[in-house]
Amino acid sequence: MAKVADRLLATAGATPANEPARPSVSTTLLIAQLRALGSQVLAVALFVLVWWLVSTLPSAIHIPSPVEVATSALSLDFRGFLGDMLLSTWRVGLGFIIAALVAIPLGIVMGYSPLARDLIFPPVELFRPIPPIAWIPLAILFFPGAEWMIIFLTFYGAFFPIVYNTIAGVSGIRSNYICAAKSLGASEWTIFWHVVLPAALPIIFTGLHIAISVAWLMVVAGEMIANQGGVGAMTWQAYQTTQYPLIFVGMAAIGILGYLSSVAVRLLAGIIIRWEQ
Amino acid sequence: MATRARQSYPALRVVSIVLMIATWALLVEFRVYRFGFIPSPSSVVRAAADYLSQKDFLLDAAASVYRVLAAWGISAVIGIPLGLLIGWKRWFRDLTFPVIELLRPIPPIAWIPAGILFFPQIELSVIFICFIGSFFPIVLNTILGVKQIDQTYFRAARCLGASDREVFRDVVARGATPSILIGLAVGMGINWMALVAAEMIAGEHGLGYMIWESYSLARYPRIVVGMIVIGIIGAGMSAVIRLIGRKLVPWQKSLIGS
Repeated sequence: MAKVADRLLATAGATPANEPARPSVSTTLLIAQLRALGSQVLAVALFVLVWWLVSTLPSAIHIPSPVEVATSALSLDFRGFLGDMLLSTWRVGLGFIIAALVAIPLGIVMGYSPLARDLIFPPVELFRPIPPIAWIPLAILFFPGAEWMIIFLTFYGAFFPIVYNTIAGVSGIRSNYICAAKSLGASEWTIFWHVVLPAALPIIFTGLHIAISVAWLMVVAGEMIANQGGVGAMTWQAYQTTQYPLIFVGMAAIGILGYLSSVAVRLLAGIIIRWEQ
Repeated sequence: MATRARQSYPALRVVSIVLMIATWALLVEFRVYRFGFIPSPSSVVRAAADYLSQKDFLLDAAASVYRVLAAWGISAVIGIPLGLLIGWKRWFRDLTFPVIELLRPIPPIAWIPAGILFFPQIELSVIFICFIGSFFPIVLNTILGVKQIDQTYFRAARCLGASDREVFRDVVARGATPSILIGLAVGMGINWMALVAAEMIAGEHGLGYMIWESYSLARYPRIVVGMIVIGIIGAGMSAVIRLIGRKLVPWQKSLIGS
């Protein structure tokens, strides 16, 4: 508003002299952002304060204080820690990508053809209520090494949200769009490529977004049980060797990595489905 | 496709399930790749007959259901009021929401070591880990529910002289109910997942523990029995929540879904 007013004044030839500068739109926005940032910092500071107070309470269980956690994070073998983080990220990434490559085409086929749906979907429905974590013992029996066992777990956890959302995206498309494309003489392939897929993509990305967080959950469970590298194993070993502050460093690392990967999926969505933003 | 008549092949669904079980049986029978290590359908049926007739089964199932319900109830009792307040009052949101956002990306499973550390008894640790699992979906869906309420409702209530309490009860809580129910259903699902992990790693008794114990004792068919029992109880509990939800918010059938 202020800018518009300034421009109006300028065109009228009446330059406002010696008037106190009005805050422009960008400064008010900046102030709002600073306030939001301030309240976030305050909230987190309060949380750390409460945590610190709780940790000083004399009680049977010892909760590591924020200071202890910070010092143990700083005195960490950084190379090994980074290696664990990369290993976990690799396991999540590979399982996630395989799940996307299998689940998206499968979901499209099932969303498209009732025949394929009735043929493939019933077993998927049967498996869905079983929590993916309950597969760990069978996965250990089946896979010769811990590596593939864990990647299978991340794959399996990511599979269901992607398949379900792809089916929902493809079968939920408005029939008007398909009819319109058909009456304009589009072939089946054109309809799929230019109508069905673009309409389904936002929902598919919702599925991918859920899937990446389930994949992180699975990798932590798999690593804690397999105990062969990764942030999950590191956190579990910290508990076993009674290096309690390190547990919280591990949790923080898992949280940060999980957050970053969901940001990555959102960025990818922003690039691929620009029209949604 | 809404108007396009959707064909359906009920017989094909039966065929599909039969095919799946037959494939499983054949893969195990002929020891394709490493399927020889996996229990066969017939051994699972025998193990099921054995386990389901034992008293252990009832004890395990009761322990797991109790833990899930306790954790779920606690996260509802804490999460719903918290979410309503966060959605409703700006100052409260500024004070608490950043912390929730900070802790949310940490999966419940990563809390297992901390959970064991926090509580003197395994029972409480397991409930705590399940609580973490259902708390976040419940809080976030409650907040979302309040945010989705049309602002005119607030203004109308104020114009008609509603007090803060009345606005909270009749506009905020009521308006957010459909979304809260979604949060409760999602929370129940994650609860079961967290429960199985917690029982496997830390637990004593419970179906997750039973699965892990069967693995350690090499009673492999019983693992599959445990998985199926967990699946059935979990699906049953989710169905009950959806049923209650449909009774509570009859005006929004589509939201709760089928």
